[in-house]
Amino acid sequence: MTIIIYLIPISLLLGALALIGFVWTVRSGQYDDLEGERYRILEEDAGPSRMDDQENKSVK
Amino acid sequence: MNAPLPSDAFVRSVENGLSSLTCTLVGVQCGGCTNKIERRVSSMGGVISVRANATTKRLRFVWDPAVVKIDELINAVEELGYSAHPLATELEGRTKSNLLIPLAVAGFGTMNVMMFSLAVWAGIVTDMGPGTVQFMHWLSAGIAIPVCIYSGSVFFLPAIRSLRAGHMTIDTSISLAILTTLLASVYETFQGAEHAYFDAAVSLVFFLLIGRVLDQSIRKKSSAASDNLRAMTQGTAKRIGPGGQIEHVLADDLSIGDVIYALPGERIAADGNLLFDIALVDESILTGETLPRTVVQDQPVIAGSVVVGQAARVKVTAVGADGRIAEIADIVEAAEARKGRQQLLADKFASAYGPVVIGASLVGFLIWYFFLGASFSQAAMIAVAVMVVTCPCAAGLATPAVVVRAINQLLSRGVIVKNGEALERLAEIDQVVVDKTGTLTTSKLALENSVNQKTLQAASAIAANSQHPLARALGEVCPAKPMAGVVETIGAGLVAPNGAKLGSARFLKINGHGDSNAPELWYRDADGETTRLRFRDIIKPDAANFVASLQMEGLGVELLSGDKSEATRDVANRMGISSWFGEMGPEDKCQHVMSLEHSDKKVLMIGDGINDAPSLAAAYVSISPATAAHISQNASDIVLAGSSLLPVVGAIKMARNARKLINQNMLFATAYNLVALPLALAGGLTPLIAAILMSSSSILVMLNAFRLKMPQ
Repeated sequence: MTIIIYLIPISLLLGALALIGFVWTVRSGQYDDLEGERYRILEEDAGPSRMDDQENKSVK
Repeated sequence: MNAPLPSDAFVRSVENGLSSLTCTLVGVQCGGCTNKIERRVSSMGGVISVRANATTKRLRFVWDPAVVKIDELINAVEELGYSAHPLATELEGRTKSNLLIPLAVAGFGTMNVMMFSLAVWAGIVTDMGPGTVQFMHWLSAGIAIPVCIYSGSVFFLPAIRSLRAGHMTIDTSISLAILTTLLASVYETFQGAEHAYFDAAVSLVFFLLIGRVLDQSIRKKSSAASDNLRAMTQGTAKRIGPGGQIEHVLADDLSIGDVIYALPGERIAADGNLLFDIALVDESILTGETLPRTVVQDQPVIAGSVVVGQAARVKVTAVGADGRIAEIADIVEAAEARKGRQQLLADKFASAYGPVVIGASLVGFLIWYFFLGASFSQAAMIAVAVMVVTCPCAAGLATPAVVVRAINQLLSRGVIVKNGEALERLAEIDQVVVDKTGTLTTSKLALENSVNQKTLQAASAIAANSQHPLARALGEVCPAKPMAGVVETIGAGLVAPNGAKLGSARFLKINGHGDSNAPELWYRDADGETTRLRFRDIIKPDAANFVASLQMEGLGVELLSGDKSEATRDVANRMGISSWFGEMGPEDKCQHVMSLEHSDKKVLMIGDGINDAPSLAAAYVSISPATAAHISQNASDIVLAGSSLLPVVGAIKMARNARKLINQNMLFATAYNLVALPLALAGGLTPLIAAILMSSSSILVMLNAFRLKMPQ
């Protein structure tokens, strides 16, 4: 049973990583436009959206 | 290219000498449209970034002002067939708090605490030692306590606020259930007991947050939609600078003594005095009167009135808190304050329900501890089970689920409900009060009496030289080329070179018809033959249908107008409205609505003018069309995206259906509690089973919410 000493922290760490990832997606505004994003993947050129992300950060 | 757009007033400068502007988009249906716009604009030189949001229907440009002008960018969007209106900075901000993060944290906590709980439940029946069990409990506590404090603060903070104000809301009951479960579990863990119920506490927070996230998402969507509409009516002004050049500024940035300029068809941005000659101003949005008023030099004009005929220069005499509109804004505020906050159904439920639950769990504890010989921890667990099993999830989750569905469906039909409270109130109304000008009528006029075609042709040729609404109405009945050499006396009439005259009775010196305010024109041809041309309001095409539908729903309909009594009576008769009141000022309208409310009527007020704003604020629920003045849209609970009133009938039916479903859910919740509460009191439920029961009852009421459909 001593194995749980390692397994529990590892599982918590993995969960925490997923949580941090989710918080990042919220903070970077990825849920701001649920209508538009699904069409955006059909675009060939992702240029303007990427530039906007950088720009958004610098404005804040 | 169009005339210069008044957009420079809204532009903000960002770093590196770049500029940014947020616009609202009209005509965007889906992400396909926003992609098209982005592709087109980003291909232009000088554009740093352009990002369209299909949910909020907004577009943000960042560009280099040295290379490209904003007007060119907006024109590029308009060439694609959409229209873009600049948004003032106050309206564009992103909401700071996002409930998605507390929800994610609660979800993380629930999953991980469940992992330990499962281990404990399995371990107890197999071979887990008490030391390991307690270790697991402490791990659970280590996750559950911070998670509940962080995510639960969404409920705790409003609960504390309302307790301070001395009343119980749904948040009070929720907070109590979370805290007692948490505290009892900590106590159990200290005692080294087999079971702790951290999982129940965290999953409670998680479930309830789902309801809140739904609620917040719809609020965001509808507030963005109503802000977008307001952006179309918000005031900009053309100020004449010291060098005589015209600058676009926000109406709020004007100061006393500025000279502003308004072209025909434009609104005057601030109260002031007319600088030159004479002007016609259409004050229908302020007073409800369809006919324009003549103003001569140095006479005052009021902000919001529209210039008719020729351009006007106005010297600003009052801005911000001093103007006539600000005065009306004060009445609006007073009316809103008097109305107070309505209590939500869910909160009514909670305030009746909360004390019962607390009382029951206390009684349960006392009986078990003192009379039935249970240990302190056993008795405490029974009290917790009562708390958890009766948790007001039905009210906390099912009500938002119904309301969100209703508001979302209404939004897709062009009815923007600003909040859930408005929807609940809309279901209760029994009296509708409608404004005339701009709401039932189009604020245009049509010829009423029949006139022979030749006379009409001749009169129309003269009238084509004037911008006066009556002259324009004549042009619509019988289009004609303008006759050359016609001289106009503003606000009075026209004289043709052959001696024919068209104008008011006074202008033609006709006795006995001296009232120049009547909606009529007189025409005297070169031979001296006189013809009277009477006009009446044009009623919106579906207005009669609208009034009839309301009456069929058993709702009383009243017509209130600031216009002349005759004009009001005429419209009322044509619409089949028996109760009408003309010549009502903004204060009279507000007073009338309040007196209806005093006689226990629940009034739905529909209006668009600035003069309607106080009565909109005073009414139980209020609706304004998209064309309404800024202040009226602000004062209204519901805004229509178009000018047609028919969606209002659908909205009332929808609100009633939603209310029915909410009541069903409440009833279900009550019935469930009537069964679960005695079971929990009898000690038949452990908090775990209580948590499972609570969750499944929540899911049931959620599913019930999905039955809501838009009425036909």
